[in-house]
Amino acid sequence: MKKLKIRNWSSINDHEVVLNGERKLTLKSDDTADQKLEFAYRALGVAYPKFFKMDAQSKLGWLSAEYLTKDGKLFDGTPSQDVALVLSNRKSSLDTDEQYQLSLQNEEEFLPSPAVFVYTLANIVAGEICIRHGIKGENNFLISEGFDASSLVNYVSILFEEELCQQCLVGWVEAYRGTLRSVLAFIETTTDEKATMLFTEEYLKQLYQTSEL
Amino acid sequence: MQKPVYIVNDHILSAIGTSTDSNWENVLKEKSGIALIDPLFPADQPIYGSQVKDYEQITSAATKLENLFLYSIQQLLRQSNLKSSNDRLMLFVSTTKGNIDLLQNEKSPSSDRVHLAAMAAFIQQELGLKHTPTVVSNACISGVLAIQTAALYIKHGYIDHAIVTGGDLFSKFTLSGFYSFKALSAGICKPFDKNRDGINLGEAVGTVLLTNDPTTAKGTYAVELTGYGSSNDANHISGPSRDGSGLSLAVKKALKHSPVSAIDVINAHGTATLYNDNMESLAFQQLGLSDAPLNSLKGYYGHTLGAAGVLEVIISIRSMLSNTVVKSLGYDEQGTDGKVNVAKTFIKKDIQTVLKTASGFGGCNAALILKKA
Amino acid sequence: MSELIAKLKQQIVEQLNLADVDPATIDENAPLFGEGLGLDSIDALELILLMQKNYNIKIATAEEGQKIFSSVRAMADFIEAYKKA
Repeated sequence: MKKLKIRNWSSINDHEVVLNGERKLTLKSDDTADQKLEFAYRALGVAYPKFFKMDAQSKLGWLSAEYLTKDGKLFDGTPSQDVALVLSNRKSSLDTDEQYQLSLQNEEEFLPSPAVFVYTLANIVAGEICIRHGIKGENNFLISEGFDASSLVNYVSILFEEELCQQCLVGWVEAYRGTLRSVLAFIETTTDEKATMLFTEEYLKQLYQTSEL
Repeated sequence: MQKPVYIVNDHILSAIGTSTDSNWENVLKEKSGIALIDPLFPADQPIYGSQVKDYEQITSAATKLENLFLYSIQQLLRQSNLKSSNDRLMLFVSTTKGNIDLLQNEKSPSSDRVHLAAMAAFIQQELGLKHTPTVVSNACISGVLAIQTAALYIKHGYIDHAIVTGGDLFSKFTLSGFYSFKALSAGICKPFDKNRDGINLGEAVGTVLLTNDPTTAKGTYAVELTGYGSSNDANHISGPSRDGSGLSLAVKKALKHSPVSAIDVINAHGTATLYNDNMESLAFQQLGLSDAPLNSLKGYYGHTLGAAGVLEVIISIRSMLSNTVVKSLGYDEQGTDGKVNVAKTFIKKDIQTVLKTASGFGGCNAALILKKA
Repeated sequence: MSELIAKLKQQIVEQLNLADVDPATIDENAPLFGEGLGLDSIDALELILLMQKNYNIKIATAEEGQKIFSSVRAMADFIEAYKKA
């Protein structure tokens, strides 16, 4: 079995942006989710106009990945097809599904929006992250009733064992009715006997629980 | 030593049949399930699609889609020795939108099952399966990806058997979305054809049984899953890559891990949009697969979303077992930039291997290699 | 005409969520697609919606839209011609 470790991790909830356990940004409690996401985007100081076209969940996932970069790069030196992205949540794309469904009520002026519809799939946030960072490797989006650290660790470990990836971004991204919650961890192999932050079920679960506080 | 993973049994519920046998017979008769339908909204074009109209209600507590899933899985289990209570068996559900019709009816007692995992858990409980199901929702590659995920779990010893079921409804929600994309065909779709003008949506459920032990699971056949791969174009969230390089990556990965020496048939995604089919043709050309007979099954079923990958794998297995390349319904004249060998008729041929591919929104692609055991 | 052009610029920014673009800085003679605003195929479909919602003009296909949406001025010309017809 390959030994896997978490290179770095980020989390975003309604109150803060956290990188490797340290608070990077405090979000204002009376701001709306959209305002919080925009605030976190502005704080990065990068120009990515497409950010404003995304739905809340894609913005959330995009930001979580962005906070893991160094000099604008999420990974360096690994072939882009060997970097995998495995995401999960409970709500799929329900936040945007509800919004799109509302636009279907008016039969007098029936004008559903393709720009809204395209976000009614769970994995569009994955697409946005792949576009931003040039990730071309394995993709999967798993839906579970709650955060399922065991499945994520098992599945990602298999991808490494099968040599289907050399590095992997994995985690949970969910935005629903104004509530934000994401935890993303960047996984790589290690040969270091003393390596900390090992990619285990217990540790991943702990990261998710920390992000709740 | 890892044991090989096989598909040993299957079931299809679609507009052209309530069993795999009836589906296969109708495919051989070139019968399409796609028909002109009542538009579900004010549309300025005729709307064609395939729907499952006659289905058995397994339990009144279930939604339409859940009844379709339950029926298909029960039929599958009936053909097998495997007990649903088997401790080494897990359910994998592939769907893009699940019970999306429940959004219109928030007061329904089943409204929580608009959540895909809650829907899967309901199916699990109805069938008496032991483990929490795994739900894959990755746009149009969900079916192929769910089979891969299940196969990898088996290969690495987490489980021994898997039921992989894929399904989606024919819904106003999805139909209107593809309408807003101006992606719907004004007639029955024509994959890879020069005059193709878009997709038809379809409704179906397909289910396969995977195992590392064909004797215990008692299959009616054994087809090995030998190569897996998925990829992302990293290019656009709805438009396919122009050059097919993303799909090529997924296929290359599948081939790298597979011991097969040649691909006898390609079962492509072939949605019949201008850009998708063109992208696929370029990918297959790049891969040196221009001469392999190729088909798309969308002319029979339309695009059945979460069911597509599973359903198309099942028809491909029938095709292998009967050594018959399925005619790519709706194809007449070459209409892509890349050279592909689209099957204009049914062709008798020894088929040892099939390459199955899928591509979808979010820029995702997946490839799977099936080999006769 | 200049009023229509100014209004169109405002509507484009809103419909396409061009949050950081000041409508006044859009050059009405410059190509809408390819350069500058970084618009894509979904934006083209959204512009079709904009025309239908605000000007009651139906555009059947994305290909037809391509010509009409070559620039803001081309869009304004098309709307003016439609009103007269």
